[in-house]
Amino acid sequence: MNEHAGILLVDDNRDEVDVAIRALNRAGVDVPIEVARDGLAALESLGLESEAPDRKKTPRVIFLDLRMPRVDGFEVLRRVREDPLTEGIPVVVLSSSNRKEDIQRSYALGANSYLLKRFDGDKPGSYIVAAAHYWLNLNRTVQEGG
Amino acid sequence: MSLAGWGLLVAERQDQLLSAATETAEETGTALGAGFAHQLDSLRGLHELWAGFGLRPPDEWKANVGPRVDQVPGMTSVAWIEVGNPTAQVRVGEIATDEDAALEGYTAQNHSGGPSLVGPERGTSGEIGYRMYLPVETPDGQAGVMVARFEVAPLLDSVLRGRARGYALSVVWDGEEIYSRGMPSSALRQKWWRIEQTVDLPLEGQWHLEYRPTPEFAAARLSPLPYYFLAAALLLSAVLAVLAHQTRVIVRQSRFLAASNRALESHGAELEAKVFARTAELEDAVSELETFNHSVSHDLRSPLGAILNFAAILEEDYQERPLDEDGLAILARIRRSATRATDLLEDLLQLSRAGRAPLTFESINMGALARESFAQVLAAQNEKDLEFVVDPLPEVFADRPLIGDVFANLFSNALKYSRGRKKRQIKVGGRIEAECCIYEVIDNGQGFDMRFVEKLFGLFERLHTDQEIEGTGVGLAMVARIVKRHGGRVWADGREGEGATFTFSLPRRNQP
Repeated sequence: MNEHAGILLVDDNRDEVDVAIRALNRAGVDVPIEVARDGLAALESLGLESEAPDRKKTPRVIFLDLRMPRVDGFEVLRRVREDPLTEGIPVVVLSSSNRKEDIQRSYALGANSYLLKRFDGDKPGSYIVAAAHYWLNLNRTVQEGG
Repeated sequence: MSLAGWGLLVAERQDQLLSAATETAEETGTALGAGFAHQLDSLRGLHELWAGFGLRPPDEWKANVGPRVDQVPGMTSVAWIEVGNPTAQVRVGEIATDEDAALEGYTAQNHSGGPSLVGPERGTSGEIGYRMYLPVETPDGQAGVMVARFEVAPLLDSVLRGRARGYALSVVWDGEEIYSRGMPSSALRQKWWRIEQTVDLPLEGQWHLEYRPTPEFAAARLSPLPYYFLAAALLLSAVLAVLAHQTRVIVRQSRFLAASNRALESHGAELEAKVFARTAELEDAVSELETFNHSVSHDLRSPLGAILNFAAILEEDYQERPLDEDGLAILARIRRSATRATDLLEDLLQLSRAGRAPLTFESINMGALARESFAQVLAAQNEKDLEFVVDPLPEVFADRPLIGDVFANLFSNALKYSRGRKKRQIKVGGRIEAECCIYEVIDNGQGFDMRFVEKLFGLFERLHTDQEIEGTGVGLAMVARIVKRHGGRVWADGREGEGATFTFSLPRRNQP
């Protein structure tokens, strides 16, 4: 069994990344959080871009933004689902787009969930915390049960 | 044509009617002759009767002869007279007031002739009639005569019963009308409508019969068909004339129309091409608008969301303590996000203007414009260690302010992506290729990966994160839009770490 890196957060917006990390830390999510600044960085981190992938970094859940420079979230999602070693990782799309085609395309490519980015200013990043709890615990339950 | 047809039809109708009337007249004449013959026969019969009885007392004579007289149409009286001896006579009924004189007159005539008619004469009540004489021999072998008086009307009435229906009839004898029946159609007193007939009377004299159609008969037989025909023919002629005229007009018009159609077809093709082009433009505009809306909602939400989030964090973390370094950093991020939102809006407004403002074409000295634009970009950004080269550039006919924006955006881009590098150079080159003027902005900055070249000119598309290179992702989208509006093309060439070349073309003979 590979060692889990925890959460892979793929987003080019530093502000949003910082808010998410702060919220996850405050909520006591104790798994490692890795940040990829864009799609290309995410693919590299997952070992899907280089010749000799470092599989140790396989995360337990990926939070994936869609609009990013160079390689976008759709491409990352497609590549993740294509590779047998990453196809089972839950991918939660985090996007500010509520366009139907974006949502449908995400699910068609194999996203497990599609979360609309919220800027309510009440509890910044709380929706990411909720999603993280859900996917991390679900994973644990399945593993323990299995 | 129609008049001739009408004439023929009328003539035919006329012939038909004439032959019908002639037939009727012949029939009537024959019947009349038979009527006279019957009267004579009756007279002869009475003579035989008289001869058989001999000279009987007048009462006996009357009792035997009277009923026979009544059976003969028109006979009102009859008498037997010995020639030369008027007193030797037997009579039934009154002959006439001047009967005796007439008998005397007769006896003076040559008795050797056949039966004869004398008239016309009026009876005691004024009715027109005649006397018929039949020379006979008396039972005693004496020359005698049977004389009978007849009224005209009963004979003709009986003769005409069932005959010559539809005709008014007038019978003239020695210039006097002795009989008439019906009223002729006043509207049809034409000569061809009068049938004249002469009937010879026994021994001498003639009756002239004149037939004219009655109005009812005329109406029935002489139908207004010819008039209908005439009217129809005239109408037809008029219609034909109109049709002929219309046909000429239509032929003329169709020639004109054919020519117009050909013109229209070519116009149509032109129009179709225009519609096609316009539709393509509209589709472009719509898809651009969709991208724009999406991008705005996405890209504008980011900085605004950051402001909201960081403001909430400040509120949460610094309720009971003064702002420390971290707090100030958060505040700085709020400011930066606000600035970014403002920049985005500013750029979007500029983009919108570039896409919508009408193009004003003029001849542009591109070298001068490039230098001007570069000076403006440089004034806004404090740059060092920079070489700016402008090669001779072809002149072009385009919208000067917008092409200035193109240069400004490309220069701004080049400066951004070469920042921090040594011996920075920005070079502007140009050439004429076929129908296009081509311009290049070449920098020796960090370049880009050609894999992502398609994303370069998309709105809000960026090849770098904010942390690497600042920018809103509007600049190159605006360049693309301006060049496209001029009917030109824009593309880029580069390699990571080895600089980039942005090229745009503009049509040489650009028309507004």
